[in-house]
Amino acid sequence: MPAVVPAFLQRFGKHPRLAASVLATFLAAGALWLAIHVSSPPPPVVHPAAGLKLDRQLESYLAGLISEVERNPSDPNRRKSLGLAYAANGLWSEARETFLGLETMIPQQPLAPMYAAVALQELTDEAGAWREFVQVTARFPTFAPGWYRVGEAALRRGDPTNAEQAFQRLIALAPLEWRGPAGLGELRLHQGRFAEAQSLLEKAVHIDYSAKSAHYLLGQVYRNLGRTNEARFALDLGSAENRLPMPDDWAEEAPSHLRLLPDQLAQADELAQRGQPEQAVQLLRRALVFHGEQPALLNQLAVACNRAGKPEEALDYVNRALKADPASVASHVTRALVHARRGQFEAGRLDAEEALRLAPCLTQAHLALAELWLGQDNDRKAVSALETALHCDPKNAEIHVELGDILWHNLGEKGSAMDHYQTALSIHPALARAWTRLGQLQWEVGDGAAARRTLQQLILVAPAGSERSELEATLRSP
Amino acid sequence: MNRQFLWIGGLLFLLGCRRSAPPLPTGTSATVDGSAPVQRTVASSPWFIRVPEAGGFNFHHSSGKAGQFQLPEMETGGVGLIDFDQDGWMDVVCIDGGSLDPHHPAPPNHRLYRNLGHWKFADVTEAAGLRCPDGYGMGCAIGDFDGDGWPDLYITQWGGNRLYRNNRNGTFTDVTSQAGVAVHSWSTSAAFIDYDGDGRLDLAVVNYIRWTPEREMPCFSAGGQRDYCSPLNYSAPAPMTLFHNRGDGTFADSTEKAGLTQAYGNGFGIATGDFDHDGRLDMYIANDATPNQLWMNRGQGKFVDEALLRGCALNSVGVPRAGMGVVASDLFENGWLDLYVTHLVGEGNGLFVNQSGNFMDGITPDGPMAGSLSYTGFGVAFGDFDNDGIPDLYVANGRVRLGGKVWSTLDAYAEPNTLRRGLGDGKFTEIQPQGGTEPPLIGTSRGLVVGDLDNDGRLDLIVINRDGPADMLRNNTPSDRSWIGFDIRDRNHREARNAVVRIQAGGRQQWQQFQPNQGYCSSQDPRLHFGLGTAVTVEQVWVRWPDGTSEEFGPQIPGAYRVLQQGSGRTDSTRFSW
Repeated sequence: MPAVVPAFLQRFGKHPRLAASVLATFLAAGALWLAIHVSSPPPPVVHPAAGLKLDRQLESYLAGLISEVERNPSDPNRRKSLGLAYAANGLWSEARETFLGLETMIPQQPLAPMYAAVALQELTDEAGAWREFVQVTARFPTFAPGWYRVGEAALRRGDPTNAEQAFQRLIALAPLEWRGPAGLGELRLHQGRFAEAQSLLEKAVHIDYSAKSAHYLLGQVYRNLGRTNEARFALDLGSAENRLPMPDDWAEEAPSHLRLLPDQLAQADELAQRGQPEQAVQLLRRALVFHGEQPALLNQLAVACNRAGKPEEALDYVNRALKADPASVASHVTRALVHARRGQFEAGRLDAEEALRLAPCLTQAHLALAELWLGQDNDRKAVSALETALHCDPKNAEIHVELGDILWHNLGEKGSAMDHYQTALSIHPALARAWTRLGQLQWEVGDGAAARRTLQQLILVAPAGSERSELEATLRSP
Repeated sequence: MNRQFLWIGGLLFLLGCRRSAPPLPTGTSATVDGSAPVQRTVASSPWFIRVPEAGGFNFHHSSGKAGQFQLPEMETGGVGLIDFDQDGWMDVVCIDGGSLDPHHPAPPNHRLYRNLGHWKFADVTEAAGLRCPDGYGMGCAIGDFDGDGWPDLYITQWGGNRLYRNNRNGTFTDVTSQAGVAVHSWSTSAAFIDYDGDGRLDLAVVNYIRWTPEREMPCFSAGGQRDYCSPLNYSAPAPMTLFHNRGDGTFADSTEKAGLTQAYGNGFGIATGDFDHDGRLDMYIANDATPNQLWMNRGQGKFVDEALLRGCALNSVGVPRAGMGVVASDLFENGWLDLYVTHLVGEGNGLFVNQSGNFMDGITPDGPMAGSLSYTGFGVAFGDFDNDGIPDLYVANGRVRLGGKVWSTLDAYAEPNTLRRGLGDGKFTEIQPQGGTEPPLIGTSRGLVVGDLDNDGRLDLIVINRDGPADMLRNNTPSDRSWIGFDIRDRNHREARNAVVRIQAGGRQQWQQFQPNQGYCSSQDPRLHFGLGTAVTVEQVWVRWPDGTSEEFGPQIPGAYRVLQQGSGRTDSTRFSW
């Protein structure tokens, strides 16, 4: 620098003001560079709290991520991944610290402070989280997920004014996001402005028919309007296990960081149910490296292998599970199903019966027995097993549908089948599969008018589902 | 006790999604300054003072935990008030866990403490014949099932419940087998009710899940430490059981006949009352992580679950919460019984406001649920602790999973209990010091009873803490406020369960229903207590009896417990109207 300055002044000697101005700009840029790269070092890497006894797999996984961040301390993406990994595994204090550090690195990114606020909320500091959500929307007024968070938090706090403002902003910023009209509709519902609530909530389900909470809210509105039948239907359609927040750009990455065993088991189960059993197997094998002969893991691995069409491998895993825990009813049920797949029906029945000895009213064991009897073409005994399963779990509409299918297709007892489909629908009016079967059966017995009415009901339940196409195809057949 | 991780479609994990927003009523004021909207009132002196063990009440609960994380260990610990010797002092039954360890089996160490008056208690368990030989203890319900005027005791357990008949001489006889009320499931709360109006107390028993030690599995907390499972891990919800009292000392299992097997969840709490004013007794079951049931009594012994349609099965956006304890109480003084349910940390306790038989899951910044998001509530009771004429709220808290703020180095599940003072019209303010005691009571609290242990007209408390000493809390509020209490009896001097009492005093009306079997696994003081503030007289008392008739009982002088017996009042000329 000392050699550069005289040369610089010499070049601009005839224009000292310009020279000074350029020099000042140069120095300011240098100062900024220094401020970023020298005087503001990257925030410290957050490690798990001292003394925290972590699961081995999680500990190993986090160590890898931490090491990557330490090697690349200025890389915000790696920091983000570390923060998401902490969050995905329930280490919310560490997640918050990481997101706060990230915020200093990328101050223009609203997700870092929003996730820090979410972490605070998870740490049950509702007031603190509220303050930070509000700050996020103040700093990033066009950031729709921030308004969603404020709106939701305002509803929870019993704060209609802020809820109103937030959901109005959300609707303006993200007109195709159902949570905007749904949030405002919820507010109107509780203000007793039912006609407005109805309009908003019908808009929400029009935007996304799978938005369960919007259906549920709409059901409450219908009930208040005296439209009981529609209310019953919408409430059933809207009942859910949870309510999911508005998606954002980081959310998709988080599942890849799950390393706790129960979460991986759930993740594998979901993958298998979605028709990706091979991925489930891969995921669980990864966990097996750390968890050895853990019976629940071995059992789940057996389930996944069986679904992936690898019954021999499944048998190996489930045998290991039962060796580790001979009284595991879940493993006995799994082995029964593995045997069914291998055509070893007698061995399977022994396992199902052992499960029932350990837990006499275990629905899953009765279902496994039904599967085994079906494999042996003994439909009557399969029906009997399903009826027993219903005795243990009478509100299980799916079992009624299964029973209906066997009675209709295997035993030709259409009247009884019809009864079961209708019972299933009385329990669970939003069960699309039951509407399809009912319509198909009505069509088969020559009651075309009833079948068409059923189709209309099905369209209400699942307007874009494969069940609708299936029934429509039936109704087009001779 | 739900998992905290949620999924969507293609495994899209979304942070911070475990809570869902309860609604709010019209006209609540906005708070935009970021401060918590929870109101607090600092009492000049603590509302309650711990009663020292030296007085003889020295119950120490044991879950028998042995590192296996067996689920019943996390839920055990009820308590009941029973004047078993009819001496006018409320005695105390404490429910212990026991041991689920097959290598070290031990029966539950339930205890009966006789109230000697003046805060002296004597453990009379053995003398009273209450030694329980087996099972794993959960809770209790107290009621006079044989109608002899003496309270009997029903203990809920995993592995077989117990019914003890009061022998009217300070002892009990185990009549479980003869009565036919064992229930070999995992029972939690129970309530004596007369659901068919025949004048005899039937028995409703809530069951949790179909659990055996063989069904136990390893579960882990956030971070990966071994921890207790969620009930959802077992996928084994259990129907409740309803026993019909035949009147000859035996009961008939009428569960199926009544239609109660048609819906069920992981049952924890029960509250009963006529929720739709049709003159019949209904039942509400609070379920853990599964939809609640509202069993509407259709007459002739039949019930239909209408919780979903009536708006009290799920939270306001259609998601089940972890229901633990529940009470039915008229918080808005309009004659309709509202439902207050305690829940898991992060869910917040819930108030289902009764709107002419339908319910709205409501939240206000100053409602009874405010400030509850940080705790896992179990035991719950409303009582007018400061005798100002408005019920207050005490909640016994204690988490079920590891994680979150550490309140105690000795017990990772411990949380402080909370006390909120009623302001009227469903509004409450938090009392400081926290929970009304100095220092705050911090434990894994479960069962809770409210009652007047020294008959001074001020309501005291007993809290059962998992694996810890029980806390007996003596009411320390000023004694200058007026009160009145009632013992509610039918024509045959039997308890008139679910009778509704309305009083007029000091220009205000108050409503209460007589049903001590509510909360979490607990049985409250079987006397109705009304705080009266500065009122010097109770101008009028109306009672709506369970048979639908009503009577007036003329001006009453405060400051004592009085018997209101059916047939001894004046027929209500105005007809008791809701």
